[in-house]
Parts: sequence; C-alpha cells; structure tokens
Amino acid sequence: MEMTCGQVEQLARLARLSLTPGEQEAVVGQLEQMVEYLQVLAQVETEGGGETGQSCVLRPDGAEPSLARDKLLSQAPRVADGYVVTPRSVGEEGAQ
Amino acid sequence: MKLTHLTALELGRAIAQGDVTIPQATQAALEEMAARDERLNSCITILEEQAMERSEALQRGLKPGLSPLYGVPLLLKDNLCTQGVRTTCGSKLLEHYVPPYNATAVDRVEGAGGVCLGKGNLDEFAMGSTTETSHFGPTRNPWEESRVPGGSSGGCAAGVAAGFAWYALGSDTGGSIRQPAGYCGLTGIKPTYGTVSRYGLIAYASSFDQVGPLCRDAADCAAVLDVIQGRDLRDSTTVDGDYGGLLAALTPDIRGLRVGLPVECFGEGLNPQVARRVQEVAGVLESRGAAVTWVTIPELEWGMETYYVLASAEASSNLARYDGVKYGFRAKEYKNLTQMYENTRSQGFGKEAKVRILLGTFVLSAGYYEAYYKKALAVQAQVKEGVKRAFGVCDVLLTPVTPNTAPRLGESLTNPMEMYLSDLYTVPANLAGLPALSMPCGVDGQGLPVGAQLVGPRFGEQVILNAAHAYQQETDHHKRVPRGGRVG
Amino acid sequence: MNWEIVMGLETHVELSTESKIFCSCSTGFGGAPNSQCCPVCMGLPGALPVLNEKVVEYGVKVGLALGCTITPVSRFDRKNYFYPDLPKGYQISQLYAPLCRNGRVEVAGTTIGIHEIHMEEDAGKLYHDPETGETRCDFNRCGVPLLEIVTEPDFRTAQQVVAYLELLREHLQYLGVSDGKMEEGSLRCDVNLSVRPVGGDTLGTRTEMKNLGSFKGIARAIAYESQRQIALLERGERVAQETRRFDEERGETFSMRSKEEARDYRYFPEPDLPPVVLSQEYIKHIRDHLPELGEAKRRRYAQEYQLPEYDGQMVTSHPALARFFEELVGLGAPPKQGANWIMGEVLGALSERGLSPEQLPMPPKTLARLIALVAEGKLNRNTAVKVFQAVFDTDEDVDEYVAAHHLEQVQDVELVEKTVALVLEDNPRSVADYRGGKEKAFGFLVGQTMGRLQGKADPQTVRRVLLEQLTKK
Repeated sequence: MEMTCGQVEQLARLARLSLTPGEQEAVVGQLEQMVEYLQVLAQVETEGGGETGQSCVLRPDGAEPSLARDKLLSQAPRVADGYVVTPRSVGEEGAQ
Repeated sequence: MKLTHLTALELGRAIAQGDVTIPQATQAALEEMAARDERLNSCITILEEQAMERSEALQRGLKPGLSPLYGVPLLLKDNLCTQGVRTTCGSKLLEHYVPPYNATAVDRVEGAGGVCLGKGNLDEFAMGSTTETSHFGPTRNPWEESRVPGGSSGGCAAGVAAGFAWYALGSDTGGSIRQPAGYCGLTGIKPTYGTVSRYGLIAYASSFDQVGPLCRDAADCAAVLDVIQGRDLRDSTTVDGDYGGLLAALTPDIRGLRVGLPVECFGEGLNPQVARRVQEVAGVLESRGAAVTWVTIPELEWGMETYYVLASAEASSNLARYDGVKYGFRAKEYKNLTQMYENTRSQGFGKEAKVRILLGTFVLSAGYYEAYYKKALAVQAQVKEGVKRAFGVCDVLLTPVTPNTAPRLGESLTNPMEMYLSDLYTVPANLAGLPALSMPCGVDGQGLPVGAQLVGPRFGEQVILNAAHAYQQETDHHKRVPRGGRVG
Repeated sequence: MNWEIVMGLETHVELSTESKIFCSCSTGFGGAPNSQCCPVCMGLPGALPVLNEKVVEYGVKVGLALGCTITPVSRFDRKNYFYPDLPKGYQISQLYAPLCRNGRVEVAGTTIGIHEIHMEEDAGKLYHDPETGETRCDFNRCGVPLLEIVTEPDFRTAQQVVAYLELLREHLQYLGVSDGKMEEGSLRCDVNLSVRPVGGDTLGTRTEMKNLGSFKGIARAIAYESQRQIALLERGERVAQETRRFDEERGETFSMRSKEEARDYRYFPEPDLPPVVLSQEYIKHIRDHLPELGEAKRRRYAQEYQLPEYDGQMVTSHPALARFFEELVGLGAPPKQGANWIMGEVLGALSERGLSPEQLPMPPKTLARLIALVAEGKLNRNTAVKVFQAVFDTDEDVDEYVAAHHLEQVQDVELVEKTVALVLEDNPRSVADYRGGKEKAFGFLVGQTMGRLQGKADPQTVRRVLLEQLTKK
C-alpha cells in the first residue's frame, strides 16, 4: 500500500514525531514496505477476536506511602517549587 | 576448566563448598570484562565497585541451605529497572535515567544471592534482532566479532558467552532471548506468558514481553526460572503457574516424549546447514526414546504479520510516555509544548523505534483499526488454536531458532525486512503465550552456533527443559565456548 | 421557527476511595504538589497498573442505582493522547466493554436513558505560571478513580438537566461512593447540546460545553449556548462541532481550541489489565446490599409517617439528615415534629456555622429528648429552642442543662394565676385598652406575664388564665 505524504505527516503528528527530510525517505520507505507486507492479514478469514480467559486480580483499597517527592522529581528535566515544568500547555493540541 | 566457563550451578556448588569465594568469582568475571568488553560492548553500565562490595557482603552471609545460585554473578538486560542504577533501555531518551525501584525479577535474583555485574546492551527499547539499534553502539558476537550477537538481548547473550557472567536475565517479545542465545551458543528460555512478573521491565509490547534467563545449559535455566517465576501482585497479568521446583524435577528421561516438527518451520528460506543441525537434534532425542513426527500448523504462516501489527500497536502507546516531561531526555530547543514533544521524541528515538511507533499509530488510527489491529487479534486467536491443535498430537515442538546463523554487522540495517524475518520461528510462541527454549546444536560451516528451539504447551516449562537436558546429556555443543573467550 | 434543544450529559464522578484506581497512593486533597505519586501513577518506565476493587464495587453500585445492566466481562482500553497532565501518554479508560450499560432514570417527569458508565483514571492538575508563561504540573490527582456516566440525548430543558444532576448527586451520596460536590470538582459535567426545529427527527450539529462548575452555571450555559446556536442557524450559518468553555463570570461560552486537531485517540485494549470478570453472585450481593435511596425514603416517609411531600424532600436532601431523622423517630420523636425541628433549627444551625449535614455535631438523642420534654410539658418550645442552640455544638445532656439553668416549665397554675393578677394590677391602661377592643394589648399582657415567669410558663396556660381574669373583672 502506498502511503501519502499527508498520511505519514498525520501519523507523525499523532505520535509527536517530526521527521527530518533525510529521515523521511527511509522511514516512509520502510513503513510502506511493512504495511505492504501486512496486507496478507486481509486475506485471512476470521471471526471474532481473541479471548484470554484470564480475569483481573483486584487489589484491596487502602492507601500506602507514596514515593519520596525529591526522588520522583530528581529525574525531571525541569522542576520549580515542587512542580514539574513544561512549556505553556494552554491552547496546545491535546487539551481536554 | 576456567572458572568463568563453569555453569551457574557448578559455580554455585563451588561457592557453597568453599572451593571458590564469591569475590573471587566476581573478580574473575570483571577481569574477563575488562579484557574484552571494550571490543564486544556487551554492557552499557558495568557495576564494578558495587558488585565487589556486594560479593563480599554475600560471602559473609554464606551458610548452608541457600539458593543454588547464591553468590553467582549475572548480567541484567538494561530494560530491567534497577534501583539507583541507571537503566537506559538502549535509548538516548533514558541515557541518564535512574529508576527509584527494582523490577520484581531483579528483586528475586538479588533475594537469591545474585551479584549483578552490569546492565546488558540491547536494541533500543528492545526493538530489533541484532543489538545494532542501541544508542550505545552495537554489541559484537564473541564467536566472531564481525557478527552480531542477535537481539534484542544481545548484550546479555554476548556477555554470558564471553564469560563475563554465569547467566543473564533478558526479555523476549518476539524472540529476543532465544534468537541471541541461538547466535551465541547459549541456552535461553522464554517462559509461559504471565509466569514471570513484568513489573519493572520497561515495556515494548506488553502482551508478549516476558522476562527469562540466558544460561549455559538447561539445568541453569531451570534454576533461574525457579527463582524468578511466580505470581506478583504488582503485575495483574501474572498467573499462578506454580509448577513446583523445575530444577528438582529435571530429568533426562524422555522416553515416550512426542516431538513434533512443524513442516512450516522447515520450508523455504531456511539455511540447509541449520536445517540439518536441527534434524540431528530430532535424531538425538529419538535415540533417547522420544517419538518424532511431522506436524502441520498452517496458521503459522501469518505469525509475523500478526506479531508486527500487535507489537507495534502496543509499542506506539507504551513509548508515548517518553515525552520529556517527567524524566529522561528533553530537547534543548523548542518554542512551544508541541515542539518540545516533537523535538524531544524525534531526537530521542532512533529510526527503528520511529518506524514501529508510526506503524503502531497507523494500525490503531481511525479507519484502519478494524482492518489491521482487530484483524490481527482474530488471526492471533487462530494461531493459538493451530498450535493448540498441534499439542494434541505431540508434547513439544522442535524448530530452528532462526533461518540462518548470525549475520554480519550492518547487514540487517540495510535490509530491515530480512531482520524481521529472523524472528519467523520464534514469534509464534509469543503470540500463543507459550514457553520456548533455545539451545545450541552445533555450528555451521563458518563455526557459528546454530540454535534449536523447543516449544511447549502452556506451563510446559518442565517438558521442554527435560528434553533440552536429555539432549545436553548426550551432546556437548552447549559446552563449547567462543574462541575469543579462551583468553589466558 | 420554533426550536427544540437536545442535550446529552457526560458526568465525571470522583469516587471517594482511600487509594487511587491503579496504585496505593492516597486520593486525599491538599497534599504538597507531587507528594502523592509513585512509579505507577507517574507512568515511570516498567510500572504496571493494579485495579482497586472498591472502584469496581462503587461502579456497580451506581450502575444498579441507575437501572443499568452490569457487564459480566468488562475491559479497560487505552485512550492515547499527549498532554502534560497525562504521564503515560494515555489514559486508562473503558470504551469497548464499559462496566455498565443501558440504564434509565425518571427525572422531572421524563425518562433519561443512561448509555453507559465506565471507570477511568483522572489526570493531573496544570497551573499556568503568569510570570514565566510556563505550565506547572502537579500529578497528585493522576489516577484518582472516576466514573464517567454518559446519558442518551434525552434532555430538552435546563430544568431536566439540573433535576437529573440533583438526583445523581443524591444517589452518589446515599450510596456513599462520592461526596458529589460540584464546587470541589468531585462532580463534573459536560453538556452536549444541539438544536433542531421542533418535531425534527434528526439531530443538529452539537457542541460540547465544559467547565460547568455549578447547577446555576449549567442552566445559564444552556440558555446562552442554545440561543447562540439558534441565532447562527437563523442567520443561515452553521454550528461548528467543537468543545466550548463556559465563562461563569461573563455568562458566555467560548471555543476552547486555538488549534483544532482531528481527534484520534487510537483506543485499544489495555494489555496490562486482564478483563474484569464479575459473577452473577457478586452483582446480586451488591444489589441485595444497596442502601435505601432518597426516592424510596420519601415514599416510605409519606406512607409510614404521613410526612408531607415538602418535609420529605427537605429531610432526605442529604443522607446524613435522613439518617438523623430516622434515628430521631426511632427514639420516639413524632415524625412531623422531628421534621419540623430538622427543617427549622437543625438546617438553620448548620447554615449559620457553614457546616454540611454530615458534619452535624449534635447526636439525635439530644434533639429527641428536647422534643420529649416539650411534649411532656416540661419545657416550652421557645425555651427548647434556646436549649437546642446552647447544646448544639456540645455533648451536653439536655436534662442536666435544663436543671442547671432552671429552665423547667412552670407547672404550678396557682403561681400563674397570682402572676397574672399582679400584671393586671400593674397595667391598668392595657387592661382598659383590651376591654376597649384593642386586641394588641392582650399580647402585651402575655409578654409581661411570661417575663415575670422568666419565660418558663406554658404560653397556652398563660393565655387561658389571662382571658379568665380579664373577663371575670
């Protein structure tokens, strides 16, 4: 299947990846090759989906101590006053 | 025999009997590493000081009745979280990431007296079959340094083969333990899905990821599985697979064992030398009382496609958390939030990860979900059914691990589809959640190890370990060590 | 043209569990930023979710109360999108097999269909830092359990919407699964609204309104948004399908996004959580142990106690009040009198103190004793109210308080007669006024008598004696 530029761009946008022009060709090429390869699946006759038969084990409610805050924040690229800091989120894509 | 080429259980016995001290063993392994790892690049992080300190503490705690692996040094694949020790997953995104907790499997081997010597190199986020996509450079195969060790647990496989440690914990999503074990002449096992906790294993494809050992023989695999398997309340997908002590029940008596050779795994694309070696395995098993038959599982034909749809889909979601906000790498330059995300992820992920993220995003996106993702789920159910049917007429399946022996470095990067196909025989066990073992069964014309795979039914670890153990009583392929490993 | 408004609601309910939905971090409010987080809710590499059983139980309770079918095998799905309040890059929610489906409730004379109820995790809180222009993230709320209750587009008026939300809040409170406080964000409501010509059978393009913080705000937002859409359509323009934020101060809705992106959440089954399998016995057990809800209580109060409808409404407006009322009646208080005290003094005292009903400090036995003392004639009602106010915040025993402050009602009729005689002697003007036809003077004389008796006499007795003596002379 041939993927259009727009299609790949849309996927990259959804995945928050921007491809450099150099990468674009190789990545798109490989992606196309793989999607092409996946066409086999369309010919398989199937019914319904798979069931695991397993059931979720639940945990009793009850609070336990959280992770020490400095430990948690020590890995964050930017921190201020105990908050993790990012560029302005208001008005950006993804806002709920 | 050299200390570093004992099996883990042999070393464990020597330690328990006082023939070797734990610091001596640790020292010996670290010396091997110092001598050769600059070339092999099996470890991203080497824990020299920490390991010596721990080995001394363990030596002081030595007493009768401990785990048979007490004091035995090991490697951990660098996608297993280690508290206070950086865990990179082979990615620039986690180059400096230090987890605040241990993976359950890590806790268990440490609880059994394991000494972690280093964090094994891997394909970035375990996506690859050659350990060439690591941000920290490729690992070389100790048998032949121009060859890849396989992947994604290539660092662990190369390290154990080279005598840097007595065993390793790796992870297997589509063959990532068995394939490098095959290329490096080791015995490795991917356990039944759910029998070993994934808590603290950095996820690639959650439905398939499973932690397991890379060892020098089947008995070592049994011993390590005894330590790491079991239900974990922190991983809801773990099951009670408590099949008792695998090591204690290990027997070379395989009389009456029904061994099935799936015709689909001996067809086109299989290197004849590999085919011959694997068929010789069938012969050995037969000589020990097993009955060998051909079986057919036509559903295997769709295994690779199914795997790539499902694994990429899960990966695209599992890798979304690497966004430069809470931990790990953040791009230096950006004008707004979206750019911060895009620059961080574009600079952070390598090409292979990007391709799989995009493929996964594609198969889940509106308009394609039904045709790809849902379809793949349905086909997966058929593959499971097909394999289950085969287990109606046999107890284990015997196949090659890979169609060929280890390729040269760089070969797969120019032909990624070829690399994907190296997982052809290993992927079905992941799709069906079954236990599968890889063991050395000789070498090809160039002296490179060939691997044979034994697949068991769900919770059939004991059966495949016994079969491998029986084979290893009869042969000594597993005792061969790479030439380059015979330093001094 | 006459227009009809069509609305459906998506309500997020924050469940009052101790710990989060997938980890053991506390759900408590007011912690320092990022102090209630762990590898799981922060989405650290390798961490995995484990479902809290209370969340399932609460979800089933709400589902049963709203007449839903409980899904025997429900599943979690991942909703994928990037935003700083979402540490994993996906929210664990339910799309393909939600916990409950196909419910219905009666409100304001209409039937509202419940499309589904699903479990999900809350996101973190983001704060805009005006000084730096950056965003600050606090992940404490990440993983707090939510139920999302989705109705069918069955609402036609703002009154129905508000009535539904009031009923929902009451159910949540009676079930004890959430405090249901809209002001504190534990009940959050999005309204999907479209308009169409009356009698039309196709739906118009809808907008989704968010940030609706109060019942009053919701009614205003609906009024504004429906007028905006009608105006657009009447001008021949089109309504854009979008999310709009209601500005409470200005009373207007605003388009929320500067950049509109095609939403594609790429939902797929959560591989880290096997399906939630609920047995028929489990569901039956919960059904059998559901508490009596407000509606049922109102019916029962009317039947059993002949309580007027209004009183029933008031007394059941909060489960803590209903519980108080039932205990009061159990201690022997006549239902109507109990209700009067609750509607008057109890609610008054609570509101003076800014307390909610569950914070009511007075034990029912205190009020029951007061009511008994009045009934026995040992305390007159005015004095009883004074005692009520004096002991409301304390544990003090009513009888001891009455004794210590000499508040028992004067039972001695002779004393009343003597006092009345003295009052009449001292106030000849008033006596003359009364006899001259000025009714007001009678009240003055009652007051004087009560004053001399320190208010402890039975006012009925005082009136009777006064009347006797005034007509005698």
